[in-house]
Amino acid sequence: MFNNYYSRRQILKGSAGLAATSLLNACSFNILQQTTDLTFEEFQIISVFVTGFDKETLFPPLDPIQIGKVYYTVLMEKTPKTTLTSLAKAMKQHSVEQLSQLNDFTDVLGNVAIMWYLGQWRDLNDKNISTVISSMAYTQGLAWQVAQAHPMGYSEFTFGYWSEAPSKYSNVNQGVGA
Amino acid sequence: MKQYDVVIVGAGIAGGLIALELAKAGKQVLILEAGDPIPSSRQQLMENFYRASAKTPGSPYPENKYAPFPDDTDKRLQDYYVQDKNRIFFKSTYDRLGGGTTWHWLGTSLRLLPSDFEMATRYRQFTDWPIKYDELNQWYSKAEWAIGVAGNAADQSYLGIHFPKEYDYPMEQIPISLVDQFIAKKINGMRIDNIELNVTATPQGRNAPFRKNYTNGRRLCAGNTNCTPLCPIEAKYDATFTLNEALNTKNVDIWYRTVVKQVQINPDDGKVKAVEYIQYAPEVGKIAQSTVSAKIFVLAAHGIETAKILLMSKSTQYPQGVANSSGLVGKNLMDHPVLLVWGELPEPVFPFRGPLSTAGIENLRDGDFRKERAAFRIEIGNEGWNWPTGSPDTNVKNLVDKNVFGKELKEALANTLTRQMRLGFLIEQDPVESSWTAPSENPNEVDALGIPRPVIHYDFGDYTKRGFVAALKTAEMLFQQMGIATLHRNTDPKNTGYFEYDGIPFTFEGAGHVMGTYRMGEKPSNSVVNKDQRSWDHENLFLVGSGTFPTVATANPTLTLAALCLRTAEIIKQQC
Repeated sequence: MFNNYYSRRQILKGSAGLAATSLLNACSFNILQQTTDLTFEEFQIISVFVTGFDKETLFPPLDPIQIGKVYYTVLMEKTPKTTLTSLAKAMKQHSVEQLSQLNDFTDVLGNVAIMWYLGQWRDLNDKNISTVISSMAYTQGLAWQVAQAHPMGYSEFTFGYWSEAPSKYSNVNQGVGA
Repeated sequence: MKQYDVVIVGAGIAGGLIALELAKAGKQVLILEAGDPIPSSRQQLMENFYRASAKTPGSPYPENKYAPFPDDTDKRLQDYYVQDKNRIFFKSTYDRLGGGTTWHWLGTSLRLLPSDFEMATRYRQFTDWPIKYDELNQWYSKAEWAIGVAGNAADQSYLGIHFPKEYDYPMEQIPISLVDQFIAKKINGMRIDNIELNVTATPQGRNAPFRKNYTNGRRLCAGNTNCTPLCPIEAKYDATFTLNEALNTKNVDIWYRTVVKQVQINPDDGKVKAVEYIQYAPEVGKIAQSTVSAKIFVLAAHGIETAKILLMSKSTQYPQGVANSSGLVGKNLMDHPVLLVWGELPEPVFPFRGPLSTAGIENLRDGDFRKERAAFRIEIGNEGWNWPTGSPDTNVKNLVDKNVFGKELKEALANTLTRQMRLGFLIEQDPVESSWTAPSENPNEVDALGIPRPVIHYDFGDYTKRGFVAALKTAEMLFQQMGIATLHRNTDPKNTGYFEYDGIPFTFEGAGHVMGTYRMGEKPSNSVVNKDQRSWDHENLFLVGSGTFPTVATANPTLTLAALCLRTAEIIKQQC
């Protein structure tokens, strides 16, 4: 696992940001949904499967942030149309779990997981290049939640909390609730 | 034009502390800073950090082609430093902007040990400092109060460290993390080479509850785990606090975007008469070139830029550059090369919480073994495997690439991210003249103002390499004691810090400590400055910062350089 050296400083050799993407408004979101085969509902199903978090956690009914819509928009913009079309078609016949075993879709499904856990888009042609989608996406990363910590650089805790175990969770090795 | 008593080059902690002390005494001070002004919005810097692809120490700070500075990616190192790709790299970096490198310092404020000042006398190694612990003791205390350090004097009284009577740090000790607590439970009382080990809380320049008679304008540390590259809430000291205090006296002026190119000497008396500078504007480039005079000059531009300015100041009378009759300017470039080791603890310790480091194992900073090999301190990290491997990013991507999804992914991540632990062995580097920096003589290796980039030829000797061997052996024993199944470390021959010793492959990382390039000493033939940090060659020129350290021992250097600067300020005060 650690034969290759990746430091925090080297791992995310990203290029120019996805600023424009993350700034897409609700209007363009609706246009994307109308002009593609992969619906937002199908994206939700994929998201729940790849992350292991339930739908209510990923897509809360009352959600001012709506980070899921940002991720859907990024996915639609960055993934080749042909891949999206065949993914949507395949989803009508198979479960996501079945699709996750097919080489055709593992990179795309992996990217959905990476978006949710890290707030990054990984280049589908070069896995060494990842880009942070937005500062909101960084701080919303599920990895920090699973670590029972906070995004590095974004603590809402108070002085000295680090000397005691997180109170919200008890048995972390059995998996963490959201 | 206004007449200044003192011109200071560099608006970091060294220049800032001296400016403040002189200004309080009514002296008229001008600071020349090569980089941009103190950024007006910390939030914008945090945005830069959140959005940065590589979250390096320099990532929040905008690049500046007119006063470029290195950063911790191989690319950013090579964009500025000129280094031979077939050699080990010097990996430590610094910032050029108002506030200097304290923007991304860790805050660790350890004192050197009394023995660290006497390496020749006690261990027949290298050289003694021209100043001893007892003489610096009171200045250490003043520096701890100037920075605002949280700690307990009683806990820091080890290996000969002692404090003035009734003294304590201005703030209470920062609580140690769960990671520290676990390690303490396992290793306290353990013996290595007949030395008993224990985990000690680290004195740190970040806010804890105040002790009596102390206050500062910073907030309590909220444990953002981001001291490097940027504390988002200003709980950690940085030199902007000192600079602002100095500017508020009205006795200090500061000119930003003013790059000093040369130090000019009066041939009659050998004193510095002026410094020549270039001023630039963003997007425009050079807008002015002139000189400024004063009674006294202080170069406080850090270990590489200060040496570069001196060596760029060659003239017929001073063909080796200014302050360089010894030929030692730029030589003996040192760091604390870091051996990183990491593993999974047998139970959750919840890293990625709290300041980046809250404790260390300090017992091996000194011992009779220093006759043979380097000492080290062991820094305990609170950021999981973030430094050595890029966690949590790498964990997520590695699992996803193995088609691990869903509940299995979540549980695998929870399992590792709550148990990750890394240790950093900061190893004492030996001063060797084969480790040096100098301005490039290649006309193509210049910045946007045409000023040479620094060439670096980094090296360390067998004394330090034997320290690596001892560090690895110590790591193995500690990991066994902690119940860690696998010790991870980087032995990739492609790493720019790769070397072999005794048939063992190693890699090192930079500690960010740039030291030794204008060393202090007892006489002009073997040093650049005296114990007051005054140039042997030019009596009104002072060179300050960690470049004056003749040996580096194992303490992070900022507190010691601050103590030396406060002492030097007192000397300058009496002279002008």
